[in-house]
Amino acid sequence: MSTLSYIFSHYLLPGYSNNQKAKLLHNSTLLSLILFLALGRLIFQNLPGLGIGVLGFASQLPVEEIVRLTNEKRSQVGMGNLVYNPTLSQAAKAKGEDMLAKDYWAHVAPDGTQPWKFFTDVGYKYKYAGENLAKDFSSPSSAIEAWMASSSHKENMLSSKYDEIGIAVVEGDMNGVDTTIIVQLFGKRYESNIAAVTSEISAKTEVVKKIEVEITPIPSPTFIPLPTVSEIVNNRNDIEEIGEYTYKEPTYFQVLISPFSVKKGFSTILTLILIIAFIIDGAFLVKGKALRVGGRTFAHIIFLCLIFTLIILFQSGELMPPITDSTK
Amino acid sequence: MKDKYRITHYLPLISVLLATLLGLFLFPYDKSMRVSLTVAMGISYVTWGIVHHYIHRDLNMEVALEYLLIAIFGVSAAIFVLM
Repeated sequence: MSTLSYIFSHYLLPGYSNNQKAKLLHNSTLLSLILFLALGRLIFQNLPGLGIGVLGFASQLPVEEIVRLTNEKRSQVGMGNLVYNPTLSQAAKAKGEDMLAKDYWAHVAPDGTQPWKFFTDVGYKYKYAGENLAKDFSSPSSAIEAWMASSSHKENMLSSKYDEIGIAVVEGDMNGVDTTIIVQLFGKRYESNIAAVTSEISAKTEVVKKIEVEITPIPSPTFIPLPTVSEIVNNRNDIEEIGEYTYKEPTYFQVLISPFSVKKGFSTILTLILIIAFIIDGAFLVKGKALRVGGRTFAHIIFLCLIFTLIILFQSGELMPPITDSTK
Repeated sequence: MKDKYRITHYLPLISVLLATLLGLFLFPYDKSMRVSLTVAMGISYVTWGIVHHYIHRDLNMEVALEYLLIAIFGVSAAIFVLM
């Protein structure tokens, strides 16, 4: 017990044993803490190599939910719902995989490949096309809210130009870091415009014919309902096709961890310990129980409190400014 | 009068820290900007510490190293979460 008490007072309280300054605040200990952080970072980068499964964000990002939330935001401003298009999702998947394969976080690949190539590669001929990218978000709602907070992404999401949406969530190694990318593609098919004009002309021709030849009975149209997003997503074959992430149960020796939450907790605890040590140190200095020459404890507390606030406020996720295109 | 003088010394430090906080609120999803702002804040902190102790005529290598190590620790702890 006395050993424990000695360690506590030696590391946290200024006194004779630590030259009137808590051992935790000595420069040598601060250096050790920095090295400890660097070591933590190194371990995190190499977790998959150590046989520990890192729980990527993809497992928490169901495509269906992203589509639902996007349409919910559109409904709130009186815009029509976007129809989920598996072909567009295929293009999104191809784009995401290309980013991971070529290690780039941008709309245009380092080799000059434009995002529109992925639309045409899957046979999607568009009149209007748009792309939103997000990286390392922990939930669909956080990604949607981030897009909504950015005026340009919001404009893309709520645009009346588009009537279809495709989503892909891809996960893999990007520049040595486990990364989860959400590719959100918007489109309006070129054929749909031609089809609309054609059907309008046909309808008018039909009316003229009716007038000329007297009205003949027309069979009632057959309505074939489009599959809902949940029907598409619940179909395993479609999931394979659009490349949506499927959750895999960990094997016996695997431990799944969320990298962002663990790193945040790790940094928070270390910073908090230092803040507490400085507050105790400050209290001793104010009472005049410790006399020494050193840095300003008050300044250190302010600085570390701000770092603590930043760590708490930091959210996972990164956005890429959106991009759009149209064909005439 | 002495207290007022000492408080004014902390104003630049608090201003820099608040400006960083504001910058991080303005660019919440721009990782490179967040990292740059955090590093800039760390550099500002070390500079403030050195200037402050120089004015008070109690600057020495030990004190300068203390500010440097605390700044490196703070910046590393924040960047560890971001990267």
